[in-house]
Amino acid sequence: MADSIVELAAGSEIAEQIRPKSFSYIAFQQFIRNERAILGVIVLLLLVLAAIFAEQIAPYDPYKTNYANVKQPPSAAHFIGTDELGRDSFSRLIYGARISLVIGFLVSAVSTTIGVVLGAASGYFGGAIDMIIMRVVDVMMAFPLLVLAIALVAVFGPSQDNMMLALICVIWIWPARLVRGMVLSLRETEFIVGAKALGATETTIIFRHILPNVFPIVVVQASFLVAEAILAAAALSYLGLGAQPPTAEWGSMLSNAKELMRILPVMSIAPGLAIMVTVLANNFIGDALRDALDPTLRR
Amino acid sequence: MKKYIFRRIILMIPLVFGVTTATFALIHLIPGDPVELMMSNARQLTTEEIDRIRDKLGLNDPLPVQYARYLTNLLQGDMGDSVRSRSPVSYEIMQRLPDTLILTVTSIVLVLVFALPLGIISALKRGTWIDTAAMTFALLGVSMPAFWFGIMLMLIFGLHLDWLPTVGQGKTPIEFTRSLILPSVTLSLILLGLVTRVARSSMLEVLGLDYVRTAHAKGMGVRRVNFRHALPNALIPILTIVSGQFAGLLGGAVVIEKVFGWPGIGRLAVDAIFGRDYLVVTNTVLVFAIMVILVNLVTDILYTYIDPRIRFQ
Repeated sequence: MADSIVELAAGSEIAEQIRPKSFSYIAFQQFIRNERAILGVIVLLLLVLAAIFAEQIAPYDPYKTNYANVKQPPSAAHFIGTDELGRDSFSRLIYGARISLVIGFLVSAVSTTIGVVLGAASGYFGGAIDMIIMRVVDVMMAFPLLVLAIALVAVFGPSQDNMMLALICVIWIWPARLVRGMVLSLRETEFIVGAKALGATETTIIFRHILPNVFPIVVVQASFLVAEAILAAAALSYLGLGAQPPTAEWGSMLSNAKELMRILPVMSIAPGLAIMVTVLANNFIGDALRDALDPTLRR
Repeated sequence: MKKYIFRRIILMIPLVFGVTTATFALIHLIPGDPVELMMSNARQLTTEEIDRIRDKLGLNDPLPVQYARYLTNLLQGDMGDSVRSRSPVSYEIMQRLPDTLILTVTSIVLVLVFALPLGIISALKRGTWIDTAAMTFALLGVSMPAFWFGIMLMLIFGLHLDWLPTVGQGKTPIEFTRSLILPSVTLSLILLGLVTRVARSSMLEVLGLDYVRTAHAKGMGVRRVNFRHALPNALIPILTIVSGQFAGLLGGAVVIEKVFGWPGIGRLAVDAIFGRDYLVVTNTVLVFAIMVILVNLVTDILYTYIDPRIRFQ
């Protein structure tokens, strides 16, 4: 019956309308119709451009001290003033985008990859592998994320790279749990049982049938993990456990600004606003991705 | 039900065991010789002296023996001594623990007082400007670094308006309360956005259920349906969220205690890192984990009282 309708309508406009559309096509359509998502993408693109072309955009060298020009209030020459060493705060803010974005995306990408591999192995093979991985996850879940990251930084020694390593060590458990749960339920579905009955190999089932189904949800979570990592990194750097001075990083700029709160409040305001805008843009994109990629939410 | 609670407590034991294993591993991952770290301020020791101290501390024993001793000592409340203060770590932690508890409990109360009504009102007034405003507020709340929100509160209410103290903890009850306001409001931000969102969606879900429609159909007053029939069921997911995010709240407390100079165990741990006082760091981390495990246990038990469906399973 359906076939005959398609045949009837062949070549007309209606045919175009009733032609089945691919999952990614619908998802893309839904994503670009979301105003917040577009705003998020634009803001994030601007931030990425600022990070890439920091040398060209920043009016001054972010590390150049100028003792004749310290603790200046905002002016035409220095949009948000200068710090206690005479460095231009606005230039430091632009360079800070580099570090925050790199940390956010790198930590999210690496921990998601680790989480997907371990979670999929855990869910698919079950048995001893599952047992070991999940007990590790259970134990790690008992520690507050930030506290465990702090403890790991204490062990590794405070530095920007060690902070990223510590964050990866604590964040991978979320994608792992998510993927394990999804793989567990997928494993029992008819189409996987069918594929097995047809003699599909384990590799085919995992890479061809299971992972593509897990992928959209993982992307959504990874986008939220970017925001999570940026916030955690800023907090660790604020505590002096992440990026070390004189690095132009938003969290450590906030910690530096504390001494000058009374005379230069703008130094405390600007880096936080920068973090918030970055995270907000990310959350907009994450929300839109979730609406677009999660078939259970589709209307 | 007693059986359920008993089983739940038994299930907790392997987790506590795992957590102590993790902190034991952390202690042994720390680079450098523990004796040298401990004696860093003292005069240079000869190799023989170091070896004698290692023997005395049992550091030359095989790892399983050390682990067993670590557990036995922990069970007796012995966490070793702090390198900086020379007093027992357990004493240092117990001194500071009440301050962290007061801070976190106050912020949970604040979250419930502000976020719950906000979420419920925006569900009842779905699609109005109130709803939009509440959801925008919730989104901003989750996108802001909580410690920065604290710095902003400090700027406005501490420095600009000069209403509240910005750092430290007051001694008299009134001063104490005044100094608690900014840190606890800051900490509550961590859950504020999330709880508002969950309260809204959970209330919306319950409002769409059949028994609510039946109540309306019977001609019951709108208020009575919303608050007597719908609300109690909508509250159950909130409990899950608040207890599930308790770990996140404690993590946030570490940073916020540092921002406001609040003398809790979070600040103790961070200061200890810079003082290379590793036993204080690892044991504070352990105490944090135990707190999370206990809160999850209490929540699970509370469920059996609140939700009869679990009781009869």
